[in-house]
Amino acid sequence: MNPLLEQFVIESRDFLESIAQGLLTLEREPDNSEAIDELFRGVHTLKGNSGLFPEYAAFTHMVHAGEDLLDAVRDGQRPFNPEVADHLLECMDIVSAMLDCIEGGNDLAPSLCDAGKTLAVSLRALREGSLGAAADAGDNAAADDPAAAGAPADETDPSISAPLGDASAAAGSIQFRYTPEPACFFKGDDPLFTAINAPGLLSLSVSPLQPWPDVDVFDPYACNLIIDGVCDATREALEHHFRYVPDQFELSTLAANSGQAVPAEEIEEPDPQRVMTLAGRGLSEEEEAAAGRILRCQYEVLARINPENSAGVWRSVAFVLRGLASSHGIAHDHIDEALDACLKTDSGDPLARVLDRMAAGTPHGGEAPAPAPRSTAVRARVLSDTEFEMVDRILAGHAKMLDGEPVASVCSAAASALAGMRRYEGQTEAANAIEALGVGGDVGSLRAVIANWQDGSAVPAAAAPAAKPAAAAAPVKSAASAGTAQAPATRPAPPITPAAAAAAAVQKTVAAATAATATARPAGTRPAANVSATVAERPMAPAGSGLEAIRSELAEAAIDHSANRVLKVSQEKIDRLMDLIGEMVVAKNALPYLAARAEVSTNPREIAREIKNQYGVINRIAEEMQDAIMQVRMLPVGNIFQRFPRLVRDISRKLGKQVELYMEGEDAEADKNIVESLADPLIHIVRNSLDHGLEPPDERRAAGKADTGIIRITAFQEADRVIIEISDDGRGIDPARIKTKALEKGLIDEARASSMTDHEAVQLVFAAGFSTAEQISDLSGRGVGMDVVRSAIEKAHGSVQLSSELGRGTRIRIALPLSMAVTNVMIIRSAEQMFGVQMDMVVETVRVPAKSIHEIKQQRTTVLRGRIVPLYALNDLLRIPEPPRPNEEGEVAVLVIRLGDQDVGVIVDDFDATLDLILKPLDGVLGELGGYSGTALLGDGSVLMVLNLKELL
Amino acid sequence: MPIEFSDERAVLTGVCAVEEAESLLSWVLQHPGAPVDAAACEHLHSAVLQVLMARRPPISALPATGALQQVLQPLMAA
Repeated sequence: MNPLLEQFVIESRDFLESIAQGLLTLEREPDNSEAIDELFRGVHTLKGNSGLFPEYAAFTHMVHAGEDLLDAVRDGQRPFNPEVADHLLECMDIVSAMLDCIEGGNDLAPSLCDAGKTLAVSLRALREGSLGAAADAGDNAAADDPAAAGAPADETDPSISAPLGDASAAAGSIQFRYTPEPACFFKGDDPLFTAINAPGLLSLSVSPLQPWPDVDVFDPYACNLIIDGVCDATREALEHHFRYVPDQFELSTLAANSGQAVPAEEIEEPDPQRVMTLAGRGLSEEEEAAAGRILRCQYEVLARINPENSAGVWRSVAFVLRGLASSHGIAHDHIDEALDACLKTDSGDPLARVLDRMAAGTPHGGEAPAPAPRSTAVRARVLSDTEFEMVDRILAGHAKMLDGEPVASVCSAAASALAGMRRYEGQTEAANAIEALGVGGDVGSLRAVIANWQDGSAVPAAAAPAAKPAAAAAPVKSAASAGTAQAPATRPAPPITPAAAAAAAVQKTVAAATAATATARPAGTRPAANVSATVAERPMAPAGSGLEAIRSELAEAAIDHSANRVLKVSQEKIDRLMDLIGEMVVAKNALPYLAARAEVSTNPREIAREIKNQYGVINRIAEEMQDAIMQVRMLPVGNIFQRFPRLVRDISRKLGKQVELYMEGEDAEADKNIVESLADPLIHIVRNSLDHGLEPPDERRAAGKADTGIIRITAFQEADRVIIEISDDGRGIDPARIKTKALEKGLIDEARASSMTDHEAVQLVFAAGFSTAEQISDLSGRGVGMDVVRSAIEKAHGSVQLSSELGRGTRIRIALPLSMAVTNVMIIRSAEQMFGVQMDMVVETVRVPAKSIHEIKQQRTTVLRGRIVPLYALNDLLRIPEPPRPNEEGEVAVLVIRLGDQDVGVIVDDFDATLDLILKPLDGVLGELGGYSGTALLGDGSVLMVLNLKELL
Repeated sequence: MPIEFSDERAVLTGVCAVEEAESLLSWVLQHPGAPVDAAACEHLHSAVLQVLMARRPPISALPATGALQQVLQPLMAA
C-alpha cells in the first residue's frame, strides 16, 4: 500500500471520529451553526481526499451524496432531524467498512458498493425532501433486474414498485444520457471520448445543456454538453465504463415514472410560442416537404404507442426532432423539456404539442390527426400477464384483510393499495373514488370493489364518514348491478385462482396487516401501510441488517486495526525530549574525565564523592527523560469516551429506553496501552447498564424516577492513579438474585450464602462464568462477563470496585496506574537470594522477636499493634526448603503487606534498599509461572525477580 | 495534431487536443464563414466540439465513418 493511501486511511479514520461526534452534537443542538459548518468541512474534505483514488469512486460518490445533504441542511433547506442523522451515521459506517477493505489491500467489496449506492439514493432523496422518492428510485433500480422485482412485488403496493417490463427500448440495447459536470475538463475528462468508446455503441448524439451563450461570455472550457447514446451492451458493462462518473450518467429505464398522476399545474410545458416551426427556414420546398413528412410520421408513432415501450419511443421521437431541429439551425432545449414532461406525466402530449408547432406551416405538417384517441391510448396502461397475476394475488390478499370487521387503519390501507393499483393502470378517477371509500371506512364497498375488479366497474360513491351498514349495503348493490351491465374494459380476466402462490401471498399480507393494525397508522397515510412493519424499523437504520452482514464478513477476514500502531504526539513533547538528551550527553561526557582523574588520584574518597555527584546529575536527567517519554505515550481517556454517545444512542433506541449520557473529565490522561486496554471493558460495562441496569420508561415512572435514565462516566486523577467511574440510576443489582444464581452454579455453598452481606453478594458478579441474563442478547449476557472485565483491568495493574443499591443504581470504579513502567521496589533477601517486592503493597517492615510468634492451628501469627497478623515464611511460599533466619537478636524480619482487607506478614531473612526499576513482565514459558510480576535489571547487571505476593499467598 | 489554420480554412487532422479549442475559437471569430475541414480528424476533444457547436462555422468535410461522423453530421447543415 503506497504511503499516500496509508495516509488517507489514517486521516479518514480521524475524520470519521470527528464527523460522528459532530452528528451527535448536531442532533442535540440542531441549530448549532458552528457544529454544522465543522461537520460539513469534515465530510467535504473526506470526499475530496477520496477523489485522489479513482478506483474508490463508489466511496467518493456516496460521501458526495452525504455532503450534498449536509449542504442543504447548512443552507437551511432541510432541517436536521433524527432521520437525517441516521442516514449520515449509516453513511459513515459504510465508509468505515470501506476503509477496512482498503486497509486490507483489497478493492471495495461489491456488497459494500451496492449498499453505498442504495444509501446515496436515499441521501439524495432526503435532500429532495421525501423519503418516498427514495423508495421509488430504489425500486426503479431494482425493476431493471426482473429477478429482484419479483419478490418485493408480492408485498409492496404496485403503485410504488416499477412495472415489470423490458428495460430496453429495443431488443438488446440500452440508452444512456451522460451529462458531464461543467468543470470536468479540468479534471482531465474528455466526455466525448468516453462516450465514443462506450461498449457496443450504436448511435450518439450531442446537444447543449444550456443554450450557447454570446461570444463574449462563451467559454469553451466549461462543459455544456448532454451526450445521448444507444448501446448494444449490458447494464454492467456500461456502468463499468462510466464508473468514474456515476453521478453524471444515467441509463434510461422505463420505470422513470411511478404511475401516479401528477397534477397538471406542476408540469412546465414548453411555451408554445418558444417552439419554433420548421417552416420558412430558407429551405427548398422539397426539403420542407420532407421535414413535414418526417414530423407526420412522428405523429403516427406517438399515436400507436404501446405503454410498455412508451418512454423509449418518446426518446426516439425526441431524438428525431432534435436532429431535425439542429439541421434547421433551431435550438432544441424545448424538445428536451417536452421529453421530460412526457416522462413525468406518462403522456405523449407535450411532445405532440411541440410537433404541432414545429410542423406548422410545412407542407403536410399542418394536418394534425385527431387528438382524442391518442391521449387515452397513452394514458390507460395495458397490463402484461405477469402484472395481471400479481394483481390477482394482491386482490386475494386484500379481500382476506377485509374479512370480518377490520379496523379503520386496515380499511384505509387496503383502499390505498387498491387505489394505487388503479392509478397504475391510468384510471385516476376510479383511484380517487376508492381512496374516498377507504377514508370513510366503507368496508362493504371496498369488498365489492375487489369482487368486481376485473370488470373495471364504476366505483360506488363514498358513503358519509359515519356510514351505517345499511347505507353501505345500497352502494354495494348498485355496484354489483353496474358491474354486470358494463362491458369489460381492458382484458378478459383470468379467474382469481386460489393457487399455492396466492395462499402464500395472502399469508404475508395478513401478517403485514396485523402488524399494520398493531402500529395503528392514521387513515389517509401513504399506501405503504401494509409494509409498515418494515417501515417502522426504518428510523433505526435503512440498510441496517445488510450492513451487519457485510461487517461480519469483514470481521472474518480478520483485519485487526484495533491495535493501532501509530501515535499522535504533540511537538512540544518531542522538543522536551530533545533538550533532555542534550543534557544527558553533556553529563555523560563528564565521566571519562572523572575516570582519568581516578587513575592518578591518591584520594579515593574525593573521587567517590565526585562520582556520586555525577550520578546525581545523570539520575535527575534520566528521571526527567523517563517522565518525558511516558508523557509521549499519554492519551486523554476522552479518546475511548468518544464512542459512548453513539453506543448509548443506538442501543437505547433499539431497546426502547430513554437514556442520557453525561461524560466528565475526558482530558484526564493515561498511558496509551492502558487506555486502549480499557476500551472493551468500558464498553461492556456501559452495555450492561443499558441492557440490565436501566429500566424502560414505564418501569421508571412506576418506581417514581424520571423517564430518562442517566449514565454518568467521569474520569479524574488521584495521586498516581487515574480513576474512571461509571454509574447509572437504574434498578441496581439484586443481591438475592445473585445469591440464588451463585448457589445454582455451585459457586458458593449454603453456609456462605447466608453469611454473606449484600455488598459481598453483589461482588459475586465478578465470578467466572457468571451471568444472570436468561437470554443472551447480542449486547451482553454472553458470559463475556465481569470476570473478563476485572482481569483485563488487573492486567493493566489496575483495580475495579463495584457497588450497587437495589432500585437506586450501580456504580463501578476503576483505578489505573498513570504509567506502566517505573515501579518502586524493595529488595529483600531470603535463603541467599535477592527478590523484589512492589512497595505499593508494603505497609511496614518490622523485626519481630521469635518469642512473639505464636502458632494457632499450624498457622504462625503474631500480634502487631493490637492486630493479629498471620505470618508466612517466604521460603515456604517459594518452596525453598530452608527456614527463615533470624538475626543476632533472635528477631525475624517481617514484611507486612496489605492484601485486600487484611494485613499479612511475610518472613524474610533481611531487607535491603528500595529502588525505582523498570519492571518487565515475564514472557513466554516463564510468563505462565505464577508468583512473579516481572524482572528488572540491577545496576550491577544482575537480574532481580520481583515477586507477586498476591499470587503467592 | 495541431490544427492547420489559414485564411481560407482550418484543417483538423488526427487527434485535436483540449488546448486547440482556444485557438480554434479565435480563428473562427476572426474568419467568419471560413470552412472547417474535418475529413482527416480521428478525434477531437469535447472542448473543440463545443466551439464548433456554439459558433457553427461551416464544416466542409466530415470524417468518412465512425461515431465522430455521427456526432458532427448535424453540424454540417447550413
